[in-house]
Formats: sequence, structure tokens, C-alpha cells
Amino acid sequence: MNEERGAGMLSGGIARTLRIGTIATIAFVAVGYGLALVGGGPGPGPLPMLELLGGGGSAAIIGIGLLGLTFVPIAVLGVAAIGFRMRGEHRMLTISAVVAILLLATLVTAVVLAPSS
Amino acid sequence: MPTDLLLALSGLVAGAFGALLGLGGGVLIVPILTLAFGFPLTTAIGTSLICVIATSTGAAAINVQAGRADVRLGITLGAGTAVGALTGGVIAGFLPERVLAGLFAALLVYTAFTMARGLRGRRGSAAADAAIDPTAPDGPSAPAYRLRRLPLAIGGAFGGGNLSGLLGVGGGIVTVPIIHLLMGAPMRVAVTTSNFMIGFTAAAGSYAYLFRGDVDVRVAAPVVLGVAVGGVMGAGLSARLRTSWLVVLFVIVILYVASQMALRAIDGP
Repeated sequence: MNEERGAGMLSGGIARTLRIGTIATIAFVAVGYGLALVGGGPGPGPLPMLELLGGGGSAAIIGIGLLGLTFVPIAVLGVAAIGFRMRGEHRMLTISAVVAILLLATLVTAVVLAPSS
Repeated sequence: MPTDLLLALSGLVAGAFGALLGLGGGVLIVPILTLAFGFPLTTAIGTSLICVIATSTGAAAINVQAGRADVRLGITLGAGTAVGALTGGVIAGFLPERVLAGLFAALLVYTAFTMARGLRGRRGSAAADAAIDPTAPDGPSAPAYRLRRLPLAIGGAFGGGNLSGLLGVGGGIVTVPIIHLLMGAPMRVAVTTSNFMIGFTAAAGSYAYLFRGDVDVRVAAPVVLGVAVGGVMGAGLSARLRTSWLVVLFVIVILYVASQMALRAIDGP
């Protein structure tokens, strides 16, 4: 019974993170895009993310939304790791942490390889 | 019609088709942005990867809550796909556009072939339909399964991630057969688990494009919003529509798009 409840909490936590994360980040994109349409004019064009965020304005809000969307899977791994720890599943806790670190490492690698402005 | 509206409509169609046919939408978004709107292939791929994350997280929320996706397996294989996707994303930055177009054309032909073969297998087999329907209810009769060949599967997942990062697709065309055929999980579990994993894969692949400056946010925003709305519409329609004729239409469209991509590979952008 406890096992079943624990499994439900794990999947429930992951599902909530996915749902809330998706809605929140899509809302950011929608708000930024709405502001960009109201403001009129052409967009900034394709820009490296750091430069885009530094520029501020509606494009930066869209950028935050898009970047936030890519962080949802990392948040899922964090929630899963907490769930596995509570259930005493140390092997899965380690695997979740390793995958989260790998994703963060890809983010750091992309930032390091990004062209400097 | 303004470009913004057309981009949003394109996303809507790709999202709806993706949800109806069990795809991430990347196989449609990349050709639409490249062939119809004339964006560089790397811009289309980066934008597509963001859209693929949105479709994955939206659908995975439902599948994980219902216990249809194998979360443990998805996270474990995610290690392979994440590294593969980053590698693919970085490599794509160095490859000429013609090479990417050629690879994408080959992927489209393979996808069309796989879907056509699946359609033949489905005729006269309602059980097969239920087996690949990710929205089918769970129950006590759900088959138990024992997974095998994990190290080999992680290696294969690396290949799927590589394809995703390189061409902007979800990579399900590789990971579903790995989970189902190689590891021995039921088809429904393979489809839903692959969908769950695609979020990790596409996120890892997208960073290279986002930070290199390949993604134009004014292009990505309407497409992502369209995909999000289209995905919900497609999921709602999937219970009421017979998808067989949609698959036939999709195979025809995708073969035409493959020929256009092949021409782009031969003639250049």
C-alpha cells in the first residue's frame, strides 16, 4: 500500500512539474510575443541567447520563456531525484542526478562554445 | 496574410498532426520553416527542438500521471540521449546546409516507410491499434515486462539523441524501436516512455542552437504557441478521428517534402 502511495507521489510530482512548467513557460512566451506584436517593428533577428537576454524588452521575455521550457526536463529530474530518495531508491537517485548533471553540462558546454559578442 | 499568423498556423498544423500521429512534430516543422518560409536549416532545427520540448512535456504530464510511461527507464536512457543530442547539436553547426538537407531527406523517407509499414500492420488488427494508443487506459490486464540489453539500449539512445540534435526531431523514430524491439517493453510503454525522454533529448540538443544564435525568437514564439494549441486540439481529436487516412496523407506529403529536401541538398539553398 505504502509502495503504491510512494509510486503515486513520484509520478504525481513529476506530472505536476511537467504541467506547471509547460504552462508557465508557454505563458511567458505568449506575453513576450503579445508585447512584441503590440510594439510593432521587426524582431532582433537570430541572436545568441545571452545577448538576447541582455538586450531586454519583449524579445528577452520570449527568450526567458523558451529557455525556461528547456529547464522543465531538468526540474523533472530534480523532482524525480527527491522522490527516489524518499523511496530509498539510491540507484535511481544516482541515475537521475547523473542525467541532470549531464543536461547542465550540455548547457555549460553550449554557453562556453557560444560566439562571444 | 502576415508572416506571424502563417508561422502560428504552421505550428498549429504541426502540433495537431504530431498529436494525431504520435510524432514530436519536428519532421513537419523543419521542412515548413525551411522550404515554405526560407529560413536557414539551422534556424529551423533550433526552433523545432524547442517545439519538440513543448509537445513532449505537455503529453508526458498526462502519461506519467496515468502511469503509462516508464519513468525509471526514460530517465536511465535519458543519459544516452542527452549526450547524443549535445554532440548532434554541436556537429550541426559545422556541417554544410546541403549535408543537413540530405540527411533530413533520408530521415523523411525512412519515417514515411516506417509509417506506411505500420499502417499495413494495423489493418484488421484492432489489438494493434490499442497497443500503440498512448491514451488507452491502464488496468490490471496491462502486461508486465522484463527489460533486457540495457547497455546496448543506452548506446542506441545515444544514436537517437544524436539524430535529434543534428536534425531537430524528437528522435522517437529511433528510441521507440529500441525500447520495444531491443529491450522488450510493450509498444504502448515504448511510445509513452520515448515521449517522456524526448524532453531531455530536445533540451540537451537545443542549448547549442540557442546559445549559438541560431534561434530567432520572433520566429520561434508563434510556432511554439501554435504547436502548443495544435497539440491540445490534436489530442482531443485523436479519440474521434480514424487516423488511417491521415497516415496515408502524411506519407504522401512527407515523401514530397523529402524530394524537395533532396533537391535542396543537390542544388544548395
